[in-house]
Amino acid sequence: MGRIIGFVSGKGGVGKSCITAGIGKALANLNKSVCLVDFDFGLNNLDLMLGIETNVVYDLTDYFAGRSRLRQTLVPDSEFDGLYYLSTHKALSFDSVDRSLLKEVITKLGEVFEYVLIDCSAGMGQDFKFIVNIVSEIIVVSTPNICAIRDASKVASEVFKLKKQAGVIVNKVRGDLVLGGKSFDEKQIAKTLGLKLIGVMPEYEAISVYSSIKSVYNTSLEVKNAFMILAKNILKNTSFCVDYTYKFKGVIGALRRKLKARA
Amino acid sequence: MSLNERIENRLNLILTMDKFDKKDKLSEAFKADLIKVFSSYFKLDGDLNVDIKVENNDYSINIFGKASDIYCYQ
Ligand SMILES: Nc1ncnc2c1ncn2[C@@H]1O[C@H](COP(=O)(O)OP(=O)(O)O)[C@@H](O)[C@H]1O
Ligand SMILES: [Mg+2]
Repeated sequence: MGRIIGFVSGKGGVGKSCITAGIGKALANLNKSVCLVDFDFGLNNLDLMLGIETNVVYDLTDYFAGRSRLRQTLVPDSEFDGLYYLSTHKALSFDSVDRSLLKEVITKLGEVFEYVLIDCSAGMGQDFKFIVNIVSEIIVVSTPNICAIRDASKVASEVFKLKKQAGVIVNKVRGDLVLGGKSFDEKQIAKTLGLKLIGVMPEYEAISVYSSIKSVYNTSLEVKNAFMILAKNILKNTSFCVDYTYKFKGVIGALRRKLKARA
Repeated sequence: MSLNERIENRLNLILTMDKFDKKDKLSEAFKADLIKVFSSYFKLDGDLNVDIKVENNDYSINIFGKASDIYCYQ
């Protein structure tokens, strides 16, 4: 049985889809078989983050209606063998889908793939409750922003009740702000949330700019490396963090910090 | 092509795709398959146009393409 991991956050826009896509690619890069499930009904974007949006033909509703077989519905990644994407309908809502069928599909995926990563929608509605109940592990994604942490904390307290393995990935961390004492770092956030730290994803300009034309994993070498560390942490249950402060240390680093603060 | 143009192209494609309904999505897959098949007979010049029309449950499929070279196997 593979590991079925749900990525949740409470707040939207913190980078769940981005993190799910990047970790999925990195795990596939490490020769794991991975299925990414877009669970953001109606507002799915995971296909874009993977760079395979033009390859999606069928989605879950086709499968449920018998228009496609599961094998046909899964979209193979264009970069890595062993990585597949399952789309939910871009217009339908979660409420219109048969939950027992959904559960069946996800369980089936867990039997076929080593990793099933589920990109959830924001909020703590019915879809959130459904997902956290059927997954084997939960990863909460937060940013250092207090609104994100507050929402993540609400999500975490729901997760604690279920007594499932859970952890946090802190996204969009900025070295200049952390060194300047202007932002929480990942350890503080994990401690506040009472969750195990799985790792950190710095804020990269490459993601903001190049994710518009290619998969997030491929936006830069630095980004790839950061995703690789996260994937290995998930694989080996470690908590290594990429060093995102080195650019802002020393004399030149201090200058960089000042310039960034001005901008 | 500038980065901005590339982003614009991708966005236009995505926004168009979002407007497709099921049949049209299938026709995209269909089109990719057709291009594969045709390419082994012709050198295709430019895009292949696949038009699927539905009128009172009657389907009509029109395929337009320009071939600049025909491969002959002897
Ligand atoms: N580490 C990062 N560095 C820079 N931009 C990021 C990072 N993570 C996410 N983003 C950007 O933030 C936006 C929201 O991310 P997304 O993954 O869609 O969030 P969510 O799925 O939680 O709503 C996207 O435009 C994405 O490119
Ligand atoms: Mg998302």
